[in-house]
Amino acid sequence: MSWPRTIRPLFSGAGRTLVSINKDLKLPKRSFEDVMEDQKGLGGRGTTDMKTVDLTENLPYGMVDISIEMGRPALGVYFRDVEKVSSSLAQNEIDFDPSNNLTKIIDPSTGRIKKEYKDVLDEKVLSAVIRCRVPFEEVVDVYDVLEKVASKIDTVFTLFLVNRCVDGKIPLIHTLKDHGIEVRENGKTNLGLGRSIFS
Amino acid sequence: MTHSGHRLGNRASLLGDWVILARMPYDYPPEIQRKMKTLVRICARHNPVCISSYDKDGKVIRYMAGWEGRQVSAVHISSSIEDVANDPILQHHAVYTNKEDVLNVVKEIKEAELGIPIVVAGLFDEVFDICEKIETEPHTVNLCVGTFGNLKLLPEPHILELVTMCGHGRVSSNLARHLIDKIKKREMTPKEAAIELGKQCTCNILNPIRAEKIISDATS
Repeated sequence: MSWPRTIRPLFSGAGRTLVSINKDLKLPKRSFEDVMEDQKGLGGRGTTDMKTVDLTENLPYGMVDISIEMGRPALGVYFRDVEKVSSSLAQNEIDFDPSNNLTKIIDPSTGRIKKEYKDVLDEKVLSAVIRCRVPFEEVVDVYDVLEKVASKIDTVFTLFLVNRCVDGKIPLIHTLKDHGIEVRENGKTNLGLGRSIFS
Repeated sequence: MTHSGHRLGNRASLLGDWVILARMPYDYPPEIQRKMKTLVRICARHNPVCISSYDKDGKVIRYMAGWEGRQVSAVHISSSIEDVANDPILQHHAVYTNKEDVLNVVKEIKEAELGIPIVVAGLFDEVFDICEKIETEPHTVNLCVGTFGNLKLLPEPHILELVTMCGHGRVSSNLARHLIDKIKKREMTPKEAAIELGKQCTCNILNPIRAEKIISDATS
């Protein structure tokens, strides 16, 4: 298997990809063996932040981590569709999370796939997560950008918002509801039991 | 980060679907591994329908309720709950079918003062109720705001409910349809189909009991 097809395991595998984020990916000229070698370890297609945020305290109050999982559920995604969404976000001056796999191949100023990785545009993967962090009050603006670009893609994406609880409540839900945005009744909750481990 | 947040279904169905995730940062101190083992043993005591652990090299050991030896295939190998509980781990997942078990698990974890980050995927109001009962304050939530784009391409709702139980989207809609066809031809039972789907979810969070119910409803 040769480049650009070797990009696929990074965005279609379950786990084992995080170590590769921390190494020099050595893209674009990589063999399949190189990719597999780099996948030793653990991880997923996104990052571990939400699962360990109570330990790391990486998410300040007032900020929201946004994950746009392209291609899910069920469909998969071509990088050309990823680029449509990421470039729309960049036009609105949204900063991408540098620790995220996908950010490695995106030009942060334009949101387009970097010139040296353009070969991947016609590659299809199970999903690709675009990640960014914005202040609480800008979430609705990002939502509006995403709603507009959604009509231009030939797949789907699912939108996730991570934010801190305050006094056992989720303030973001009320802000979203005020703007007519509904939130699903299920999701993930970090119970905060990791807080005491190093303190 | 999205993972178990994709799960779709109505409230009644989601009441039978709970995922507990425990994960240490990569640079965690080695002595924490002992605590992780304690945590897995707690999870193993409260009727998990799936339980798995990963080591630092990415090796996974998994148990799924109803997965019989004859259904083991080359890359998908079942283990016992005891095997999982004894494995060295960095990351751990467990799936439960009722709130009571989840409450008992997190209560014990809190009492053990392990200090390991715990994430529960489920209905928010129920999870927050559990937090209140064990007297802890939820730290962070991951909200799903919905799916956008060309929604006409999505599979049927019952297929979506099945495939979104895999945290990485590795359960194929076509496989789900194929297995449902086999059940209609009486070549397979809903339970066997549920296990076959669960095997594809290598991080082992596809709830086989819920899957069997969804499949049974779709084929009856």
